[in-house]
Amino acid sequence: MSDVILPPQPSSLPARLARGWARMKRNHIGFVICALGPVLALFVVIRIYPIAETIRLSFYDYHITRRSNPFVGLGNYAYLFEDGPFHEALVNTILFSMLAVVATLLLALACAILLRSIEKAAPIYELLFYIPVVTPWVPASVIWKWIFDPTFGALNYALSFFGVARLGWLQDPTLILFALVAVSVWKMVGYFVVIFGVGLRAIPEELLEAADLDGATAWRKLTRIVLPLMRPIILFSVVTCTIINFNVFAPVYVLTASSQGAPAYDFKVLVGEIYSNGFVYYHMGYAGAQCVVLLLFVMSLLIVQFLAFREKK
Amino acid sequence: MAGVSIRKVVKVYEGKFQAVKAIDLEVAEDEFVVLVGPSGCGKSTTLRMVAGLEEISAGEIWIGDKLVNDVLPRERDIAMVFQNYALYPHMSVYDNMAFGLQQRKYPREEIQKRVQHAAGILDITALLDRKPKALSGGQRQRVAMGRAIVRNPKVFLFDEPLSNLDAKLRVQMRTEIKKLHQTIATTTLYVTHDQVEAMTLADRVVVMNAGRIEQVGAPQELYHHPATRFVAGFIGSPAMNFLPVDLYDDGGLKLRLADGIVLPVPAARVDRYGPYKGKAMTLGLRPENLTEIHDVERPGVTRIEAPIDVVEPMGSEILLHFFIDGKPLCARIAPDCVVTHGERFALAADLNQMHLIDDESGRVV
Repeated sequence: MSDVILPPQPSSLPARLARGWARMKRNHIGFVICALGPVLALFVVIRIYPIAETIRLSFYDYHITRRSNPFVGLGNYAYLFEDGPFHEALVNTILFSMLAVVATLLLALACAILLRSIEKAAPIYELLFYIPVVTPWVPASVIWKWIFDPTFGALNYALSFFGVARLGWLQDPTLILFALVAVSVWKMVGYFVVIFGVGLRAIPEELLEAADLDGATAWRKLTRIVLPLMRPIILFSVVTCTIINFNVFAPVYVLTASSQGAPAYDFKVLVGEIYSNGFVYYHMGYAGAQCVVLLLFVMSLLIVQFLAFREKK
Repeated sequence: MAGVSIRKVVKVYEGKFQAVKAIDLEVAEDEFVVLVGPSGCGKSTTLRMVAGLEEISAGEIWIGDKLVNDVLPRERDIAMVFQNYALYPHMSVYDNMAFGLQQRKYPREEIQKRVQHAAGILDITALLDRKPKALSGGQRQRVAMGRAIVRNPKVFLFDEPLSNLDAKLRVQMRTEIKKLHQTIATTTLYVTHDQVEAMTLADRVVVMNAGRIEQVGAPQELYHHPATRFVAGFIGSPAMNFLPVDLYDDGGLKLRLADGIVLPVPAARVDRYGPYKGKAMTLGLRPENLTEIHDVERPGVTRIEAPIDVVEPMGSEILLHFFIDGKPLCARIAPDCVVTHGERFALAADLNQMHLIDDESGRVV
């Protein structure tokens, strides 16, 4: 009996797909690109493209209502040096962020350390602290607006028991900064209590016991053992808190004169300025330049923070 | 230097579980005492109470002539080596060793001198700039010991310090700890669950079980004269064989095993065991007292025959495992004996070394 040699048959589509899939898995880089491709594409469309478009617009005198939007180069950036409200917003934002970041993180760390000593009740307190985090900014700010009200507000009412005269928390140009910081701290502290709580729980109990036996006081244990070991968590918290506070807008919009007819001081912040220039005056190009400055400023701060918190070799 | 005195110390967790039950222990100055026992026996809790890391529910702990019940750990002048070393991961080896001295405000030159000296003793001078994560298990163990010795404390506490090391390194470090104690004589309390570690290191061994001290004594004393069935079974590897027996007088005091094997009690033990006639007893015999039969039979040595269940050649000896009346039995025979699994093997039981345990009290009589 002789062997019959058949001509090669064209393989079916599923077989070819399976072979292609196997080949792609062998080619690791190709596989990674294909697997991550859709996510990367979405990321580019949603994240990268708007940033790039904002940077492009910042070189144009772009106005929504005009047909002609000429290229002005660094003209928008040059105007930033002359823009008084922008300077005021920049200073306010820096002051607000510094105070809010320091107050939020110190308070969160103190709470997290205290909660560690009441291990069983800690989750309940963490939940209570976390409630403001999940409350949207606008309703929370409306409630705080009532609390800060000079005539009917709960804060002035409470202070009256201590003989403190009525204060215009949202009307006084100095007090409004602290009022806004208080709202920001109230809103964000729960998030960082949880983050610091996780960091503290990750420190082995034995290390603290060893420090006890080594003769370290509670303060020395905190500064020499706990904080250095929490360096990555603290860096994450400082970076996150800085970004959140530099981008502050909703509470300022609701609590200050920017909201409709509210009798309050017009406390300017960078994002508020960007909003006004972009969506009130339609100077999109100039608002874009302000966005770029905000971006560069926050990024520079983050680089400094990363350098300050990096582990010494 | 100072001794440690533990007087009627009790530890109760959350008002319910009693981990340590009114123990008494005197540790002399410069003595090396090992607390040994199975998991959950209260040995680590006892050590942590001496360190001040656990509160004492009742009783007193004295270090030297000072009652330390309410003294903070940092004021007890003790140093502890933890099971997981507890080295500060963000500090170099030097800083780990110097930390305790820095907290006590020693001058910089003195710190440097002490750290270098301790590093020299432990042979870790070359590692002083490294971080703990760049060290092997054995090196970390040395650093942990270095951190303890630089402070020259009154008492050293070791909490299962070798249990994270592999078998070979454990033997090596065991020798080094012993050598260290010989070099720097300091009162030492050492906790382990490994009875070999306890026997090789200790001046005295404290055997603990279920929150109580079963027996305190020198290693050889515990081995040859255990006070209770627990100590007899816990100390020694392989463990002592236990066989239920009836003690009866048939013109001579004899032991009858459950399957009818009769063993005569050696003459030297007759007076001691006589009062226990008719009681349910347990015969305890170490594997080295169950050997192959030699040509010359000595008084008190009796022949037992049983089929071999398992043969374990150890190089320097062979361990044979049997079952007699359903009870496991281990024998130690010379390495040149030729034996096979399943064959009936005649053993010489040296009853001169036997232990007889009263089942009612659990005590060796």
